[in-house]
Amino acid sequence: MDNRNYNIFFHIHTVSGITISVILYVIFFAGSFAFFRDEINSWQRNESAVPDKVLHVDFDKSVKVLDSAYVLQGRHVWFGRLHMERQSIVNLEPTHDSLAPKKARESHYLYQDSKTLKSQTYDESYALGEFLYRLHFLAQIPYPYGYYLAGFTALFFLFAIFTGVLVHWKKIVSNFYVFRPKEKLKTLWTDSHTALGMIGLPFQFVYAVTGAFFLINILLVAPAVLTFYGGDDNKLYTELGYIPKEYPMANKALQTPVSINAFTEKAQKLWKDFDVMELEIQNYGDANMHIIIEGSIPKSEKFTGTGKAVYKAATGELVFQENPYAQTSYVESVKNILYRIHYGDYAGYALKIISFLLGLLTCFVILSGVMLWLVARKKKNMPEKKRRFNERVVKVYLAITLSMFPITALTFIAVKIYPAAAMDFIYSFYFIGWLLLTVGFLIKNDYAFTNKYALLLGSIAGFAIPVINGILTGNWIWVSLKNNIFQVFFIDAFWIILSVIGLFAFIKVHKHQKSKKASV
Amino acid sequence: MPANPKYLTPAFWPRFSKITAAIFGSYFVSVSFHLALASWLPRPEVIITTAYTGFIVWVGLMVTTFLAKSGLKIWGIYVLLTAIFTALIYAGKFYNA
Repeated sequence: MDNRNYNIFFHIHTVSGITISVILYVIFFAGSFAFFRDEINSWQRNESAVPDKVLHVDFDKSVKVLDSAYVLQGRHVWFGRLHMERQSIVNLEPTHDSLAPKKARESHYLYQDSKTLKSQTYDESYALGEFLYRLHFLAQIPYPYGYYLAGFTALFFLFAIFTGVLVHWKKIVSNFYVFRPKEKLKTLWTDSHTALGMIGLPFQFVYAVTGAFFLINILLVAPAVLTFYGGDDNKLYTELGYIPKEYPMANKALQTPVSINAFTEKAQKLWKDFDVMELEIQNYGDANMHIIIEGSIPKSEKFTGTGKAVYKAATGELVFQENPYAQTSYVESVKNILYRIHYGDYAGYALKIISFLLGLLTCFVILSGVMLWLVARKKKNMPEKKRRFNERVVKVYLAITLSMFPITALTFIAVKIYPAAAMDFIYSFYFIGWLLLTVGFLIKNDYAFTNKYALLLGSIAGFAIPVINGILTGNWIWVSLKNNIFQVFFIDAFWIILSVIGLFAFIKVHKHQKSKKASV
Repeated sequence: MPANPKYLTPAFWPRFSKITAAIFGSYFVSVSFHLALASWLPRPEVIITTAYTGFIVWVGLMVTTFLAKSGLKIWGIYVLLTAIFTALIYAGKFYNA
């Protein structure tokens, strides 16, 4: 590559990288934990659910409970299990029946426990897993600013990936074999930034593109809607198959009550290994009541095998079907794949753990990039003032980013000690704690100290998590393993391993500093 | 080893025009290009493809923008490309209506 191009790419890679680094770190750190969002929620509630997205619900019982609490007459009722938790989500639309009681005119978005059939609102069911999940697209910043900020960060992350590849293109293969951790600090940062960046490259590319799609797709959707659909985005979403067909009300009561379970059993007999993942009842109790059952076949069978069966309640007739074993259309595949590859939920725990590690690896690539930026500018020919400024910037960056590990671990402890912890508590504990840690590290004003003690504090708190969980709930890690409370066991074991790694890193850093001091 | 400043654009207006061309110009080209495709090819398929290629093309152009010698020139090219694609969109809408 000619010198001019190389230097330009190098410069824009540096500038874009430094600009997004802190936000990107927050996104990747919280996002790594978000892979275990559902496990963390279940762990906090001290329960465990079947780790799939299948509705393990007795619909007849559930509908009965919902009907007596909220009156379902003339409503559309939607069931879905978006998370691997015991609660499934129930959405109640306002009734279409003008004669229905007043109660039926309010909409509700509920989290219904599949065992006890008790319903909670979103706020009542809010837990730490949801908090970390939402933190990873900055949803705590008022909508839509947080979403857009995270979305543009993803876009410029893609920019940094492209320019990074261009800068390191020639050295990709050779650098892969070069890792000189015993050399001077700058080579350590360079080698880890390029080698680890390369390992994580496909992963990071996927997350940058899909992340931008989730958060700022409006930038692509809006022009298309204005050009082809006369400004009506419903038309676009209908054409892309996002909006389900509506069956009108007959405004006559359904003669004989029907069993929803009977319909799901019928649908499961249509195709081998078909699991029900979503169910919608349209026009509940009306003569034109329809039951729409959606689900899929195992991922091992077909990556995007989604099927659908629609029954008319009055006659029991199958009015529409979509075979999950049939060829999936291109549009459907893309819609599905864009989500699957971001969520990493198609290959069990192995993939989630790998994704988590790649997420943390990306955090390391970001930080080593920042360190590289600093070290490369620590030269005698740089003005003293500029060098001091750079150093201060890095100190602030490190204080903010490295505090995330201990405050996350501490919040796990906090929600166990205070079982009533809901949104307000988690917000104040996490954000105030994060601020205090950051300010504390800044007062200490020494980034070696920040690095070491953030690791140590996080690891100690991490080790305390399973212990405190054991003391408070009796679900010690061996008890939860024996009694098959898997999600609780998983989070406890997860923190032990993470803390071992954290402690190991702490000892390494500690020894390194000691030997450096001794040699001086 | 920061980038060698002799290859960079330090003056305000050249720099400003390049950065705006990179962010906005590239966006207009990417969007109009995809919409032009959508007006001639099967629409739902092209639009769902845009969900990912839209960003990739946008960012790809963003990177190449900075190689331009003149910010004004690259803006000119982007405006011209956008105009051509827009013409194709309307031709497609008219022809395929």
